[in-house]
Amino acid sequence: MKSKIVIIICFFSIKFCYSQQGLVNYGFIESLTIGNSIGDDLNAILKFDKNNSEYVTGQIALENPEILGQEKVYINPDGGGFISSGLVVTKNGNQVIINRKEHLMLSNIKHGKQIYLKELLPEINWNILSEKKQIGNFTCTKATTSFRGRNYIAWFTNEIPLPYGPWKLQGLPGLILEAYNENKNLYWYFKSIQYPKNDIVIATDLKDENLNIQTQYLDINGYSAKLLEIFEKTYEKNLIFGVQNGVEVQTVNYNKLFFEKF
Amino acid sequence: MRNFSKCIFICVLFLNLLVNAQKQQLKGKVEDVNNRGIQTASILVFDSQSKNLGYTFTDEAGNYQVSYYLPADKIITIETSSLGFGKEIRVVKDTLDVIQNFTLNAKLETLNEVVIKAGKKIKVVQDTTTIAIRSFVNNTELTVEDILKKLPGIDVSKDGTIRAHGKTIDKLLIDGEDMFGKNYKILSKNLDSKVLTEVQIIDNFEDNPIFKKLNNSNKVALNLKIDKSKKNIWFGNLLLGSGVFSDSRWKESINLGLLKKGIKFFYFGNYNNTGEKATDLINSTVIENSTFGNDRFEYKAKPFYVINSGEANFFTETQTSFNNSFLNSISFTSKINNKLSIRGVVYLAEDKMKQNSLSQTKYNFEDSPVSYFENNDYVGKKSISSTELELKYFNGDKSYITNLFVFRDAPIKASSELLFNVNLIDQFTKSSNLTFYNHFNHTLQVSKNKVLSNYFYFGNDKVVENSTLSSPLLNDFLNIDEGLNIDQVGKNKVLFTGYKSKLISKYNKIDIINSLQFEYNQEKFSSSFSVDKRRFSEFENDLKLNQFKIFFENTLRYNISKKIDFSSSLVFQHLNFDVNSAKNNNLSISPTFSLNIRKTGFGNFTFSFAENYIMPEIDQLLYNYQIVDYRTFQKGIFFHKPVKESLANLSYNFYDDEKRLSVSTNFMYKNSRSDFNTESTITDEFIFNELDHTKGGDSFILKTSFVNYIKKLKLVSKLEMNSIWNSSPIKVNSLSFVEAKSSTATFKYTGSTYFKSPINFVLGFSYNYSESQFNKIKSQNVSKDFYLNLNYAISKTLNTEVSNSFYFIKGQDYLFNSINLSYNPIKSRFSHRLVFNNIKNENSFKYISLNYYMFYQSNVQLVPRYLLYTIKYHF
Repeated sequence: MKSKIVIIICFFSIKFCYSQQGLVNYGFIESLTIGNSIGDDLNAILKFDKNNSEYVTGQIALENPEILGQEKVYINPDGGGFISSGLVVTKNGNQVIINRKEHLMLSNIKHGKQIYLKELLPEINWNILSEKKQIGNFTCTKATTSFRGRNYIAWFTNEIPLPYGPWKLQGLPGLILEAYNENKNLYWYFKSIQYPKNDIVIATDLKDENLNIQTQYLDINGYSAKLLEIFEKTYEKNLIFGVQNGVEVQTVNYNKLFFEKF
Repeated sequence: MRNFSKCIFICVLFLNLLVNAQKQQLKGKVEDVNNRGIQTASILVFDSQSKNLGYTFTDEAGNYQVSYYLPADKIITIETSSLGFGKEIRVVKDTLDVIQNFTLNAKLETLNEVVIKAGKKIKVVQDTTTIAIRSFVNNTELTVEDILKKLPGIDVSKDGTIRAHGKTIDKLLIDGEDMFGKNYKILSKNLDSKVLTEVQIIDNFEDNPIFKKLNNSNKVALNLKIDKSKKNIWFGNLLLGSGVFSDSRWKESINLGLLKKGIKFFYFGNYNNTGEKATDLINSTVIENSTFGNDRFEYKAKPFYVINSGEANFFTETQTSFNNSFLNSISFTSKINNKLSIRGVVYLAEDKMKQNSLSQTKYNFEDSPVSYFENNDYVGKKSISSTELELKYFNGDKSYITNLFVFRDAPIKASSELLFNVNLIDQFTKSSNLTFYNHFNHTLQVSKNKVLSNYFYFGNDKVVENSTLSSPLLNDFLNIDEGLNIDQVGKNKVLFTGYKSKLISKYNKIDIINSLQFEYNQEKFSSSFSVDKRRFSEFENDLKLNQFKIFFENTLRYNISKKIDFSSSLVFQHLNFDVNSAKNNNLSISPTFSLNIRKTGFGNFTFSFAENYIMPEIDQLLYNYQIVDYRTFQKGIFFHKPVKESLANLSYNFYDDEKRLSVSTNFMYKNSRSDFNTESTITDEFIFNELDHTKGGDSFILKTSFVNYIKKLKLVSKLEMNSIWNSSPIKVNSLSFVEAKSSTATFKYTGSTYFKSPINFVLGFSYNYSESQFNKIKSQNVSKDFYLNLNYAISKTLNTEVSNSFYFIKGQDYLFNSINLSYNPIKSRFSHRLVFNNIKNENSFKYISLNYYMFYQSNVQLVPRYLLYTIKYHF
């Protein structure tokens, strides 16, 4: 009888271990124009289990409604500046869904209209360095890579042996707690982790904000062309806003600022 | 043979290294205790120095395969872990292509870590925007003002007034300390640019710690952050500059500063003859009637007789001012203890001016137009010596007390030799002006949401002016002997005292402000007009004006939603106005409304409306004619009721993302139901002005700007249009008032390039049109100007700015060009600068102004070409 009970306990505990889900809270600063991690500070979450992860940022539900429309002027100590007319958020936010089993990655970004991308899970060629630092109680190791037009630095901890991270940064032998590109145009920082956390649902597909329409995914080429067009429009908008408001706008290299370069 | 063995040895060595550096394969399976494969377990391979050699994850079945380069000591460490399982670390020695299987024990893992991130490099903290200046400057800047002009979000106007985030700044702080109060131009125009590291724009600035708790301020201040290496030591610089071509040019200055925890001290000395005036840096009076902050009321005595210098403000001071300027200022702040601090400033400023102008004035009357020429040689000396002492006491909790005392002595001497058509007129005036003001403020936090402010103020301002005038025309008019001088002595003294109590209550969506103010103001104005001891009482005045005012003001601001707020205010004013014992009591109610709608899809709107009652100034009450310049006599009105004016303002801002354009519009309408208008009688020799209380006029002001980005040219274009229309009744050489109309319109284009190269351009064009219509006579005037500036960073230490401005006025054209070259060797205490001003050597220009029936054209002498070299030593 005793052995039966032990077997049942073992079975359940193993089952329990296999079905665990977790939630990571990140902060995300998007600073495409001036870098140096100076810009609107958004909340971001990463939900995960063994096979899947769902990353979301720029979602209305994640932000404090009191500060959504607050106008701010951002100045870069190294030059330049811009005026933010408030956090850019949408109902669903910008998402990245990873299905490791099927080697798939789905993502979306909103610039005027939502754009959806379906692609094979990219294999990021990380270079793991010996440099270490503490983030909270976690010992993190530095890793670098070049991914879609930017050189990234990531700090991961193998105390949480999961290949996930914020946005599309993944594939390291531990959870990425902090990541940024060289100029800190994109900057993610770790806030908290809850594990296990089984009261969450990890999305496996992206839903169009207008639920009546089937999500239309672009391939890499279509996505790349669309982003380039959008970014140029955004830059021009900033330039005009800067002149109108007496803020100096620095000359920028479109390609360097381009969100993803394929 | 020996070489052959060497080759063999090297080849063997390489082969050995190649073998050692060969890629190895490590594979295996990671399972749990029940032999079930663990998916997504991480496998890390390290060498003995913990250097990562490779890593991978297990597949669905728990299998893995990882390649790595075998280290020289052939020792590797394999670390396997998976969430929910314990970690296993295994050291493997002297092995190639191995299979390593792992069995991990289940481990219930709970992670509930929270990390508070510190030290993020965000430079906008609440209301403070910090600008590290190094990226915005090119080392051609001499003073703090030169830097501020280049910073985003900051504008410096021609007279040195600083605006930040669209508002005139309240204070210019240095390391968080207010040292110069309202006279911050002394700091901005003198402090060396090199000591500055950061500039902070502080929105919603409030100096008063009690008011600050209510968070209602809409003031803006700037804080200058000084280089840390300058702390706790004496620092400064010495500048020596000398110029050649035309007259000799000089520019010398000294800065001396000490910034310690308990005391801050600055000394600025400046001497120049390059057109930078010293007395313009000092504010004469301050009047602040603030709803949510401290008030300040200072009243000024008026001068009687004015000698026109003929200086035009069309260009910059360095193009038109002929002066010798001298400034000395000492300022300090000191913390006496934790609660009490003291601020003191002493200024000595002096300007000696010499201006020469030739002008023509035409009065366009249908039947008998009047026209004359003036050739004016003006010499003037203006001095200001002043001191300010401020004590601030804050008990650290609920009570804040300040007392500000201001004393000023500002004598003026001016003379002019003037040829009026063919008549030689000599004028001389000497005046003394002694002033003191005292402001005592006590602010008390009554409860969490209530603040009570008590303000007690008093002051005295006295002008005594002696003017001597030699004019054959006046002698003829007065029937006195030729060659005799006219003497006018004028005295104006203002003595005032007042008390204002204000209660500010803040609720959830509503702010309420109730204030009660009493003020007593006594003004004496007397003049004597004599020729050779003979008095002419018909040109003399002796006025005594006593005013006792009671204001009761109630303001309510209702925040309807985050996007909409509405505020209204009612001022009940009772005024006892007593002119030479003729008493007049007035009760008036002035309402103000404003509605703000922000961030809608159609843009932002602000609408406001206000009604004001305006009392005459003492010089508008003159009962006899008074001579105010060599050919103008002025007389006031007999007061019976105040002037009432209504003001409406609408502003609208819109930005369209898709079309990449932005529009900003402001429209203001002012209507005076009645006004103090002038009846003028203009003869060939004199002007007699008399005020009359008549029907008022209207004025419209429209300002619009439009910004657009032209992508192909990498050019941002800004198009602005400013228009003003005025109409008001005027009576000139006629029996009745006639409506006179005037309008001005300015169209301005500015373009800035954003090329990647070190060369960039700023170019602009403006078209100015003015028109006036009076008695069916229409006058028009057009001027155009164009500028093209080039900025070129030749190297890290050598920078140049080339400025070119073209002006087209009445068929004449002017070209001003200047080059500014600066050399700042790295790690040197010396910096050098070369300014080549007015290279084309324009020597005079024609200035035109239009006013209803008057056309005024003046040829003003310009500062000739000069080359100025300055060397600065920093210590």
